[in-house]
Amino acid sequence: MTEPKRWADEDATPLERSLLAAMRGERPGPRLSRRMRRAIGLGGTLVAVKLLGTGLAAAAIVASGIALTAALSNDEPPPPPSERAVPARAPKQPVAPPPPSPSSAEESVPPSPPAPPARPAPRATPTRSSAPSAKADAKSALREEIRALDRARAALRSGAPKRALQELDAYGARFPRGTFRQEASVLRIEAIGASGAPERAAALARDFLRRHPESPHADRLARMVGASPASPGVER
Amino acid sequence: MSGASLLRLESADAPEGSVARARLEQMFRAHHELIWRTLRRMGLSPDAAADATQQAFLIAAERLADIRRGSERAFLFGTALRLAQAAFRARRRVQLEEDMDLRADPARAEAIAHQRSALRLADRILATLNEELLTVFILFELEGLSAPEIAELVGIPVGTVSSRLRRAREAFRAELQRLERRSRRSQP
Repeated sequence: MTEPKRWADEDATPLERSLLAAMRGERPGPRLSRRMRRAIGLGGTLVAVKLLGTGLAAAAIVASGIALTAALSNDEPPPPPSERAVPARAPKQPVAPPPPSPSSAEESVPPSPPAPPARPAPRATPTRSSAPSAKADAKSALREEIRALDRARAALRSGAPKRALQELDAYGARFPRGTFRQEASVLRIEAIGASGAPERAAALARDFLRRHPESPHADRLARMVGASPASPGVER
Repeated sequence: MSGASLLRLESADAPEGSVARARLEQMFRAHHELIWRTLRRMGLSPDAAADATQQAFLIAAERLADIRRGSERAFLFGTALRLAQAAFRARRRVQLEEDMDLRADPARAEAIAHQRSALRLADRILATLNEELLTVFILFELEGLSAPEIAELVGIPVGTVSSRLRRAREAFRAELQRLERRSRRSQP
């Protein structure tokens, strides 16, 4: 069968050609390209090293935002990427954050449940000599963290910010040293904004930006408060 | 899922890791823009398209050893399309233009504005195509895959690619004309 000609080389009108050219000409800006590079371990400190070196490949991928296993098997479709509120982790963000300090952003976003973890906090950077069971526990805990945040995100996206906040409270109670505390903080800020307290959300967002100017979430929050992120990623 | 493949990428000392990393780097440089662009045309916002793109590359990294040389693009396309399916059905188009980088001379504000308008119009039209037509249209008209490549990627006969392409063009043109007519009617 003869290979069809491209429309632009055939009978497309000038306007159609112009639309085709516009579509072909779009590309991700430097900020997005950098983010993608980092997320797949091609730039900066590599999140993949620590996670994958400890047998947490699946968790690492899931952590980037979508339960890929589910996506590929269609057993349990993940929320569409377009519904995601939080970008994937950038490598500069530690996989296993240090214990919360008084200045940590997580504690700046209320409520911050003081209760100790119901179970040991996930250890995302065990050494390679860790026992297999410890690895499995960490992997399982990470998945639980991700599921908990997925529930919060889904609630927020479905227009139920108060339920999202409840889910985030539950996450904070269960994982006070959770790997995804920053993501939880960002979701909380968004949920607070969506629940009718935009000024409060903006104040929290500004506080987050001050504490974490290099966070992969900085651009998103900066847009929320109309501020310029510390490291401009927007280029036209 | 084992982390072996990606782990090798990070073993700077290991020649095998260096090779894998170099290959992933090459894949990223060669294909990340077109994968992102494809996901954009499938209806994802710039951020969401970036998320899905990096996920496609993470999967590729994990399965690097299984990807035949020369099949990298097809693998990435296939993975990205599957990732886009759920999003496609949601059909949420979020216009966050600040994340776009349009290939236009930044000094020519008018040209940029024109290109943005063109993109908005094009995406509005694409949003009316069904998934089957949209996939073929994007891969053939925008990303330059051949009909046999698309046939293999999507799992359909080459003849079906051609017929979907024809229908996609017709639908695109019809919607464009409809919008033009509506625009004319709304003018004083």
